[in-house]
Amino acid sequence: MITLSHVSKIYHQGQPNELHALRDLNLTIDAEGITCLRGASGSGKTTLLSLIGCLSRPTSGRIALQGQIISSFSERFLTDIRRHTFGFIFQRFNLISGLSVIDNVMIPAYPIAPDHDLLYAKATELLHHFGLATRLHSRVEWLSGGESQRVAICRALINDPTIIIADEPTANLDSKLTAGFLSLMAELAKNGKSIILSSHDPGIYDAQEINHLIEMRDGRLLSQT
Amino acid sequence: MNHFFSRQRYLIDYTLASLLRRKGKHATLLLIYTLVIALLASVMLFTEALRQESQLLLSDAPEIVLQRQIAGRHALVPVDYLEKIGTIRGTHQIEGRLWGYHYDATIKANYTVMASEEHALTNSEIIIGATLARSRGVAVGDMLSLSAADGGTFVFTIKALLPSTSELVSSDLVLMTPHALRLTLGIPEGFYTDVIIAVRNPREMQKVAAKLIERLPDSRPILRDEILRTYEAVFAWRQGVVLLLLVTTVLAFIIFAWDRASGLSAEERREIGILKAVGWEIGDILQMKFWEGTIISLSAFLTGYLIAYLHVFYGNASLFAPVLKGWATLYPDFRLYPVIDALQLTTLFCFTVIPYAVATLVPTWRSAITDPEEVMR
Amino acid sequence: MLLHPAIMALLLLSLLVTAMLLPAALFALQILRHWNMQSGSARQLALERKTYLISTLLTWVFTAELLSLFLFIYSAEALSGQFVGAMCATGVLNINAWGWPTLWLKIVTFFAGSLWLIMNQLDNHGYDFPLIRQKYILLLLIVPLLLAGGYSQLSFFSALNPEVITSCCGSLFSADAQGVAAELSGIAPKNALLMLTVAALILCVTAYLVLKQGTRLTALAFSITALLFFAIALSAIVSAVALYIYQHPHHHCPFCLLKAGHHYSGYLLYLPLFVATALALPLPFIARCQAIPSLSATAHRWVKQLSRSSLALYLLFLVIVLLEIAASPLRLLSQ
Ligand SMILES: Nc1ncnc2c1ncn2[C@@H]1O[C@H](COP(=O)(O)OP(=O)(O)OP(=O)(O)O)[C@@H](O)[C@H]1O
Ligand SMILES: [Mg+2]
Repeated sequence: MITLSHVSKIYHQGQPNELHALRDLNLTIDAEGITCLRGASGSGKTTLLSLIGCLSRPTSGRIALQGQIISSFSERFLTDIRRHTFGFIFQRFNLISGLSVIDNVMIPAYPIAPDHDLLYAKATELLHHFGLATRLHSRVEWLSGGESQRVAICRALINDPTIIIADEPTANLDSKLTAGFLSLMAELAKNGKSIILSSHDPGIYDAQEINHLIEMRDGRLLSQT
Repeated sequence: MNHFFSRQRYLIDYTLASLLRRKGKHATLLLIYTLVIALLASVMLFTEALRQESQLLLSDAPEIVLQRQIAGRHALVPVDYLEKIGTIRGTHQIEGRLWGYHYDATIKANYTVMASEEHALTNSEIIIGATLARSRGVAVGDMLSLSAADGGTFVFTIKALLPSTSELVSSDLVLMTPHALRLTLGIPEGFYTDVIIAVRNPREMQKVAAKLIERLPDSRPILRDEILRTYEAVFAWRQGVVLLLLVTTVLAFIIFAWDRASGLSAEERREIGILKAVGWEIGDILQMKFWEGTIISLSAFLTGYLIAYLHVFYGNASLFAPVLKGWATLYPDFRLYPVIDALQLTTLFCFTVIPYAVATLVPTWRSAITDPEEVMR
Repeated sequence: MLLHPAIMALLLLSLLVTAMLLPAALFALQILRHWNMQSGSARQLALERKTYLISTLLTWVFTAELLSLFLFIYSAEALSGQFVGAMCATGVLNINAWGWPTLWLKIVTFFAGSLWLIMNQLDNHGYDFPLIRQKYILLLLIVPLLLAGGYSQLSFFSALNPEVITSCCGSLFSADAQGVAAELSGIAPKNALLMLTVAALILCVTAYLVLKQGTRLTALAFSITALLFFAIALSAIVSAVALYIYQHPHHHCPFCLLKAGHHYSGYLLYLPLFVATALALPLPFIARCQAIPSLSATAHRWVKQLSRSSLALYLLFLVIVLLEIAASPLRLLSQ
């Protein structure tokens, strides 16, 4: 459960190009199921996701995660929370080129420093599960878009997060792969993960797998169902 | 604690992989870094070895050498000075020495000629240093002619070569009988070049010296410790001067390193952004970069030092021997005795690695604070 | 001024330290004025990110200072060949009035630096930077210390005059001379070792109390005993332990111990002693942090850990002392 109260995010505060990306936002996201953020380009979806995901801090306002107020945590502790709570899937898959698939999947766990054999086994298992068993040691730049997406999903899951955040995850996929992605997410949701994603693709926000829909405009909340 | 170490292991693993992925970028830096260290280390190793060498030589030199001075210049010591010195408490050996320099026009070099009674030489036999033998192209049993003080020429048989343990001085040495030496160098009977005095207790050296001047007002006692001190100072000073000259090199390298560290490619920036977005923290990135710097510095330091070591002790410091040695024209082809000491290593470290680390500090931090939000756009 | 490479390295270090210290001090002032953890303003975020830079910078500063402490003693040792009367570092430090102050400043800096680093490390364990103000006030106090050290060192080196005939350990550390060093040397070995034993016992008692209770008072008691033990241990080295190592009843020098001729046994003695003291001194402070909500668990753990490691190192020191005494043919206590 994530609660935002009076949250604003201002870029370039106090400068001529000051920009209010989020304005006095009040929002409660129930952790269950898949939540979708919908809104026009520039409406503040990415900004909101990065605030929820502890990637940045609000200029003002409070954010509480499972009852714990995190908006005034130092970056060090935000990262710590983020590592254990969130998994991220990005629009441009953001894999590190030059490294193998399995290395890419294991990277988020390095600072936590689990036992190497366990980590390796876990990464292998995830990759098997997502149908990448044969690509373990291929370099990521040789993968297709769909495969890259699945590697990114594995990476997001390596630290056993409870919440998965995906910012326009299907913008680089065709409609067939989009449907595939949604069913993967639905499966994860069934296994108890909460998923928050943003999209302006009707294939996503009108899909039946979505449990909650949040609409945004100009940094404000328009509706929540 | 365990967690700390295994985390560092992960970070080092990652760093190594990322260094290998960007070999080209780091190769130039590593090369220059290594060369700078090799240069500085060569200077240090070389002067340090010379210093040790000279100390070694002086360690069995006589405690006091007594010279006579006339008009402020070195003059021969009459034999009766030995009697005038007589017995001084604390000394246990007083002896006149015969030696001098001899200029050889054929190879345009100075020899040091010394009288020796130990080697049972006859008046027509000599013993010479190995380098001298090489430059004159002679061997044991060959003849060597030396021009004498009166214009004539003496022909000697070479009886043996001097062992080359400490070639720095013995290389240009010629040993002959006192009689032959007097004829060759033109030192008249009844005179010595100087007098050596052995002192039992080093603390009494100053007292003995004072007494000598009192008894022989025109004499000048030279204390071994004084020479040692001068040598120390001279060698340290020379090393200092050369290092000071090299400071510009180090500075140039530091600027280069700084520039390298600040000029982060878009790809590297993105990589750091991704790492941060998936759960790395500024501290993790800084530590990874610390390992990067450590790996580069360590490789450069070890390789550079090794190169310097080989250059100085096996390559005869061929690059700058002429500048630093400042010895006779006859350069001995000698092997310096290898010395490595902690002070030198620490000094070298302070001159290279620490400035490198400081120079890359700010650029590294700049890259580490890359906003993770950036990769979402 | 002598142009010795080690001297140049020391001056370079001091230059670098000063260059790093000034921005750090400016930053400390900024922190004290503008820090506000509740705000998410751009300035606050920038300040927070800069703390990483400044901690790294200061880690290097204190590492460089530690290195320069070693290098200073080492180079004093190495320079002893160039001065009439100097046989070891003591003689060189005696050449002018700046030698000993420089050494003491470096030692104090070592302790202050380790205090700062431990504080910083502790602070990193709290989610809201609970110690940020104290940390940077301490830094502002350390800055003059470091600058004084640098100045003193510069004065020492620039006034190194080879003409001066200095006096070395033989005369400074002798019972007949005057001053602190002489008085230390005058203490009978038996008394010195007795005092060391008593101090060690008290140390064990206070350590026990800290480990058991971990309160502010016990931590303070341990810290003070540790400081006393440090002083007593140093004087015991001069008045007794050195004699055993040199196997000579009247050679009291604290530096000749560091030479190869005495198997570098000085390092074996000084290293545990200094590190143990550096770990013991921050204890009262850490004990106080147990009251801060975001730090209490960590601080509680640290009090135990630090006092345990510190005690272990002190005991190691004592064991080494005993071994040195046992290994020496010299017998001082039987008379
Ligand atoms: N780092 C930044 N600096 C300045 N302005 C920013 C920054 N990040 C975002 N913005 C601005 O904030 C506003 C909201 O951006 P945001 O990325 O959240 O929108 P979005 O809903 O995700 O849009 P899109 O659908 O195009 O991804 C935009 O006007 C954007 O230009
Ligand atoms: Mg967006």
